[in-house]
Amino acid sequence: MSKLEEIHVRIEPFSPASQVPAILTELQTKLDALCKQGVSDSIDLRSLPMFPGDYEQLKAALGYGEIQVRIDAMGPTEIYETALPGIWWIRHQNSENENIAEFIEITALPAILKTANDDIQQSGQQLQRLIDSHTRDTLNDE
Amino acid sequence: MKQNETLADHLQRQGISRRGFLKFCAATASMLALSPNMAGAIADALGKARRPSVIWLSFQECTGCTESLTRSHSPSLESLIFDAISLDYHHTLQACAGHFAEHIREEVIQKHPDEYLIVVDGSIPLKDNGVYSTIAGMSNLDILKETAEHAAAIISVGTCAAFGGIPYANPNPTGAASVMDIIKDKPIVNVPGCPPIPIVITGVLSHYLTFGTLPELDSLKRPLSFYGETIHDRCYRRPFYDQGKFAKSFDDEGARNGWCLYELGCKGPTTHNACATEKWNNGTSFPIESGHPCLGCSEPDFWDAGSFYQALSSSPEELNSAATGGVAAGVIGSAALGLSNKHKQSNTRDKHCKVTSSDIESFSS
Ligand code: SF4
Ligand code: SF4
Repeated sequence: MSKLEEIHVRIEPFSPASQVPAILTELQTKLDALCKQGVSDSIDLRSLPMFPGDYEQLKAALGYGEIQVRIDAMGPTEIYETALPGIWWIRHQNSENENIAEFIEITALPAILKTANDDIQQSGQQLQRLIDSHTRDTLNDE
Repeated sequence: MKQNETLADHLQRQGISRRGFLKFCAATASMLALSPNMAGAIADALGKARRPSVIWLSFQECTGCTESLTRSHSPSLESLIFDAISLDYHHTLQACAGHFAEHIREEVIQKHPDEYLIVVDGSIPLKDNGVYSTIAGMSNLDILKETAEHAAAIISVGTCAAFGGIPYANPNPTGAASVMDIIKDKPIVNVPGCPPIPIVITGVLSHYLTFGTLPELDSLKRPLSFYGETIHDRCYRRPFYDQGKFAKSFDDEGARNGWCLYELGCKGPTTHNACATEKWNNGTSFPIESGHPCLGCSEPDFWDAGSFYQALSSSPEELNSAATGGVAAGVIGSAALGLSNKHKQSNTRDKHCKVTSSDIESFSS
């Protein structure tokens, strides 16, 4: 959607039918559950009927925190913690930079950032191969 | 993808990482209206899924449904799911033709009895022994019956296959019928829309791949995850409807302010589809966002239900109370709304009125 984004559209600062207050209240409930019961949760932004401008307003209201991450896997995924710790904004795009999913996650750490056990095991084997080849090279040099 | 490979093996062979796969599963969860927290479970199930054979039958149709699916940009979710099935027969897409093509269809039936899926687009003409549409000398009816006999399930894609659609419209010159009018002993999923949203077509396939079953359906055999709510239920203009603020013509102040399009003929209140959330053109927007009312294309008889630009015959208040009843009383309420729609539609059909260019002009004062 990069071409569309190049068309500048003026977003009205106030929409009379804004959904933003409702979303903020939902975030509050979910953050409370994370605090008290340790339950992570998320909001699927695609399923919300948003008025034009709501998306931008919501993004502006939550702001940016300290962490910003980019994952390159089947296209870019942008993750950042909002100015409210524990509330993360996650946008998945395909390799043509089109949005395929967008969530707000209420969690200590989004699951996709953690390395999977199988991958850790594979990386152990890869490391062993690296050590072997380097040891061989050093022996050959001598 | 090789026939016996699992989807996880296939993706790995293509160099797609675990995070890439997890991301794909999160998008699938979102598409199936499941909680995003289900992504892990979907990853487990999809990882083990094997590739089912699919026979795609095109009958009386305009190829719009195939276009809808194949024109969605790749590499997308749609193309990945498409990769995960073995599409063995499809007139428009297959390279071979004639006897060889028909031979493949027969081979799938023989080799994978009770395992393959059929996707149908287009309605089936029954009048005059089905002469109005034949393939390789066989009538659409015979092909459908022969192929359906050993199928695991049938997915009717588009309003024509699901409900008869445009060929079925009055006076229905070819005696067009829908798949569910003909096949009574197989599980059928209807994915109506003219055309259906691509992600809804693949949504049904990915549900089948993930859970090995067909999704939960409404009384018209439409998957509830996509057709459970009306356009009106999820429309961002809904607050204006509730406040009684309506655009009266396509260029009045109301239209400029983005008010509700009910009085310009919007069929959103009686139309079950996912346009308001899934959107069109890779998630860009949907018709109401462009200022045009919903035509009701995913409902039976949408073509015969009166002018696209004439307001539904019940007042907003009546619809509102039926709709709120629906929310409170769940399925019963929406069924009641459905019934009253049917009544309204037949009313409008009796008074069937054609729209003329001057009608349209009168809306843009
Ligand atoms: S009538 Fe149409 S435009 Fe108005 S709120 Fe309902 S779906 Fe939206
Ligand atoms: S908005 Fe209405 S007419 Fe348009 S595609 Fe969706 S259901 Fe069909």
